Amino acid sequence: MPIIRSEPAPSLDRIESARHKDIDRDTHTDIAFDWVAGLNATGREREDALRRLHALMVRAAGHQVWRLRGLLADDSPGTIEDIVNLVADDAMTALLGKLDTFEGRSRFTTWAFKFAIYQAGNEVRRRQWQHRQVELRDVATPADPSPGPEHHAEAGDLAVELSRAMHAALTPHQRRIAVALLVDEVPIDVLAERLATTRGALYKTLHDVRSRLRAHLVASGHLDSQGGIA
Amino acid sequence: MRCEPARDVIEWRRQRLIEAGFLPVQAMDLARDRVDVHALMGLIDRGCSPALAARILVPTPEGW
Repeated sequence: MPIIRSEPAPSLDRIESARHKDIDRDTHTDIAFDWVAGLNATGREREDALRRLHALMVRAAGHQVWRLRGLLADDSPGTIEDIVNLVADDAMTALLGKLDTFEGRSRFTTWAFKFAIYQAGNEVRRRQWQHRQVELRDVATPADPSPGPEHHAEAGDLAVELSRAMHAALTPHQRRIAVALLVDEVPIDVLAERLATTRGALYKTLHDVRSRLRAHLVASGHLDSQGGIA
Repeated sequence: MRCEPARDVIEWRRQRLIEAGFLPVQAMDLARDRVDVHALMGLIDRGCSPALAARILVPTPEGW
């Protein structure tokens, strides 16, 4: 679907100084607009709705990317404008693909903003991790079994058993995913993109990992059947 | 719009696939073709050979 660009991404000055004023003013006129009818229409009416939607997405993306700019290695005006445009395009494509799911339970503009905010978070995280090493490492060394002070003995014992469970109950790939997401804290959308998979597939793997580890720790007597420490 | 994965992402996938047991040439083709690497590794975990896992997820006439 061709993206109709209504206007370039706002300059940083505009984002910084006039953002709220613009959003307030434009949101006011956007609220009254019949978005669903416009986007489902044909010809000039649809083109007009697409232009307005893109402008809305640029404003929303500009707002969110500006908020998250501290996470970017390069937060120069040109880069931020590039990100805002990319996010606005991606958000618009995502929204149009789900237009028929809009139920009117919130304002259309509120619903639309969520797409831009979600895409902005994804894109900023993706760039944040672009030049960072994403390891997919297996756990090689078990936890240190020495308990240290007496009051740490129980936690030390649980850690040793958890380490055993990681080896005994998980497959190598499940371990790599668990370590990347839970230990190395790689964002799930970054890992999903790297592996050319979906967030849902990774969430399912994490769910399986938790179930297997819990079952192992319950069987070894370290957790009770409700998942609490025995 | 993003169409092609970045070169460093392709290289990262290629390395992971080689570690999983794929031949370098297969690993490069799969990394470039946006094959679901997570699903590939899941199949290998369940006992598939790398070649069979690739055939399941990329059923090309030529096979692997």
